[in-house]
Amino acid sequence: MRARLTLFWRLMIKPLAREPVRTTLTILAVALGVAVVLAMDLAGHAATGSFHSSLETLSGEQNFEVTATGGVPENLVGKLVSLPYGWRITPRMEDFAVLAELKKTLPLIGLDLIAESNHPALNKSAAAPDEKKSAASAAFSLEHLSARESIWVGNSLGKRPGDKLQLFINDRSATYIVRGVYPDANGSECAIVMDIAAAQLALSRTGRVDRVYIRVPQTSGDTNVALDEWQRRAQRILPEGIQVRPAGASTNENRKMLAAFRWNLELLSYIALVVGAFLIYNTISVSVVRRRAEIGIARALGASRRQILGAFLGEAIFIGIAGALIGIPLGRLMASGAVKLMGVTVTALYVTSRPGEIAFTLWSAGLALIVGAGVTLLSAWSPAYEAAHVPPIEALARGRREFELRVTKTSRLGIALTLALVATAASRVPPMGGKPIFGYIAALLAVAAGGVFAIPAFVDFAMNAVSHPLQKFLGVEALLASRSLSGSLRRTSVLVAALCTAVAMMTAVGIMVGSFRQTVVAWMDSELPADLYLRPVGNPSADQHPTISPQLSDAITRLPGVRAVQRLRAYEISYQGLPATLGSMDLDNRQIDRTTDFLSGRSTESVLTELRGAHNVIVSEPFTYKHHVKAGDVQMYITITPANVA
Amino acid sequence: MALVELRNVIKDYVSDDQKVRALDGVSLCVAPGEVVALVGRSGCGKSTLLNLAGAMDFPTAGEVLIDGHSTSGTSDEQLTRLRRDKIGFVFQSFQLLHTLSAAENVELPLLLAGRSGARESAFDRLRAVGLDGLENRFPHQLSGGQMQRVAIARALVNAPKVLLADEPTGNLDTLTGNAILELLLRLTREQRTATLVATHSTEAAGIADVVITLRDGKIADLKRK
Repeated sequence: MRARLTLFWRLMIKPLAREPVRTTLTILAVALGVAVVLAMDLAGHAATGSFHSSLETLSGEQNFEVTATGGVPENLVGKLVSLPYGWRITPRMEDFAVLAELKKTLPLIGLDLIAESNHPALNKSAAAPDEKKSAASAAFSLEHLSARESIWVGNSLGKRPGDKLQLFINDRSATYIVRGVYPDANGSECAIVMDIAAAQLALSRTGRVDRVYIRVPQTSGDTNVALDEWQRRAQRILPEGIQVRPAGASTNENRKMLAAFRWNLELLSYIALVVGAFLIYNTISVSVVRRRAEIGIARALGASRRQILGAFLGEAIFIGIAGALIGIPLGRLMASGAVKLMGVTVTALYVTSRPGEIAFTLWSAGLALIVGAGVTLLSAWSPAYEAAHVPPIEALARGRREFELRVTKTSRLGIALTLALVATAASRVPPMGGKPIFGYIAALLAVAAGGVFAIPAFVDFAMNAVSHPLQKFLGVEALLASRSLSGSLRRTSVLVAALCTAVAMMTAVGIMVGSFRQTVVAWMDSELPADLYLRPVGNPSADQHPTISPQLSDAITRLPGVRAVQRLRAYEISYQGLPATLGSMDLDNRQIDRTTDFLSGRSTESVLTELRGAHNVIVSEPFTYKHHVKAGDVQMYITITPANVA
Repeated sequence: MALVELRNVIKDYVSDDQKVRALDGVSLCVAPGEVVALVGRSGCGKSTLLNLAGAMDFPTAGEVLIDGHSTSGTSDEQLTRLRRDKIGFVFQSFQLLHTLSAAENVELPLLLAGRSGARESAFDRLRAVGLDGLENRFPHQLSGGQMQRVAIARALVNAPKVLLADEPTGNLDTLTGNAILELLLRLTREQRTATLVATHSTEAAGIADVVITLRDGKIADLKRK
């Protein structure tokens, strides 16, 4: 073993030090690949893993949540409380408030503080010891609990009991008094808590609550069966349009919705690793080519194929581990930046999310190490195998391998064409389990067709075509360069394939982003034909729909020079286990030009005519793909009482 | 008993879709302590014969026996073992690994075989070829003659039964070449190896016990001293 390690050190590792630039670049490429994959994984978990709404975080252990589009009528809370089942019923209000001084949006939670005066958020005062007594007494003063200006905040806000805070809630601004501070460092989100009645007033949603939690008594026997029965019982009692779901269902829905987002991000991150893999392939190939004579000598002196294979794979693993060891801390650093960016994207496109802690564990570090070493091993396999299997007398006389590649290029073109056809067929297969598995297979086949089988012929053809013109214009050096490229066809082809992949990725991402931007611009032009857009202050988010009072809208309508005001309202709903946004607008406003493009090709007017006063909805194109609906399908049942529409 | 025996060996190569016969019915024996010189023009089959005798290639027909073991029908693993344990090579252009020192080059066959005491054996061999004190020099710090001595030390470090030398003086001046030939002859006698030397040099042929002239892959002449 010692003899082998000595040999490995002398023949494989020491030569790496003699080419510091190439070795450093290769190790850095692996490091970057590992870092990006690790960062995306860690950031993905952190940015999309924390969907426990503040409500859930502060609600403790519950069994079910009762929700309805536009809110649950308050009288149902009383109905549920009066049932003889021993259920614990806890109503909640949930929205967002903006801190005027910081322009920071925080969740606003309305709790029944009188019923829940033992709630941890109110008990765990974060005040200093000498202030604790007075703070606690302030927190539990009945008068303060129900006062409409009383709020409780997380200690990360840096406020103390008695401090005043100006908040924007929807289109109103008011000053509130901090009555207590709760610790929010350990998993709890910093939120603004107020009494439920005060929250209803602040949000102009009197008469309804956003969510009702039910906790059922503990039963013996099969807990799941018992819970199903309790859920059925609750659903029977409640009117249509009111939904009873297991507590935390919205968290699961959000996770499900973001699964594709994370999946795509992770796949994109693997491209960085693929680039590293190409560099590894190139490094090991160059190493094999340059050491061909050494391989021949070693084989003549008694080195076995296994020893040669092991030596080159060992070199690759050394590079992989060195790259991973640099990549792991780099990835952890990058994750901190990535989690912020991803959090912003998730909030803007999907759902309000507070990034969780980055869970950097020994397991994630080990996995990154395995990924780094594994990728280098895979990419080094082909040149290492070639090195091991070249007969010693051929190793001492190079060139045959290139010749083999040259003479088989026509048949390789045939294989490339076949693979391209199979890839085209695979790209037409629909997704499996929501994932375009055959799409990935098509991409791999296309890469194999182009990169492995077609590129050598293309490179050879291109080099032959340009070598003489190049010589004419640039001299004999250009001829030598072009001949050298076609002379080492295998290596040149790999590099061309790597560049092709990189350019293809850049083009694909460019088209994707460009197309997305164009879609947004086209959509805004057709759907939002306004000169000014008004929304309450605060960070915009896909699932936040703060309201503006109708009086304000009327006042704006009366302003001179205002031709028309279009009012929009949106709610978050759950459809087929996934979150969706239900929007509504004033269709009778004739002052507004509407030129919506519909997939059916029908005119805007005829579609909107059907929409007026009937049980019809328009769904977006992504909605049709996600839920497999088409025009004419009857699948949706939504109940919104007129009183609920703000 | 012959350590190297070729029995009616034929070796064909395919080049540009055409079959080229490199050896055509060659038979010869090399006994322990005997030096056989292979002479002839370039392309007459000398190197091909050495490759077959060194278990680096298989004959198309006929049989090659090394210390009684036939190379035909054996696995690559067995051929590797044969080369490692029984054969030493000396190449025309020395074929030293430029990244290794003289001692490390000589150690190489022993390390590949996983044997212990490689460093001491290498120093002993270098002393035997007259390179005492130059063990830690790298090939580029040695003269042509010194490099060939290192190559000979490396070829003999694992005490092979067969020593194959392909133009061992081809890159050396006459004086140095003669010294190398004397060294080869001395070591062959001392270690009782069967030595096959492919050469253009008349001096090299002069030290051999048997001189075989090859022409177009056939033995055209065989002279025994």
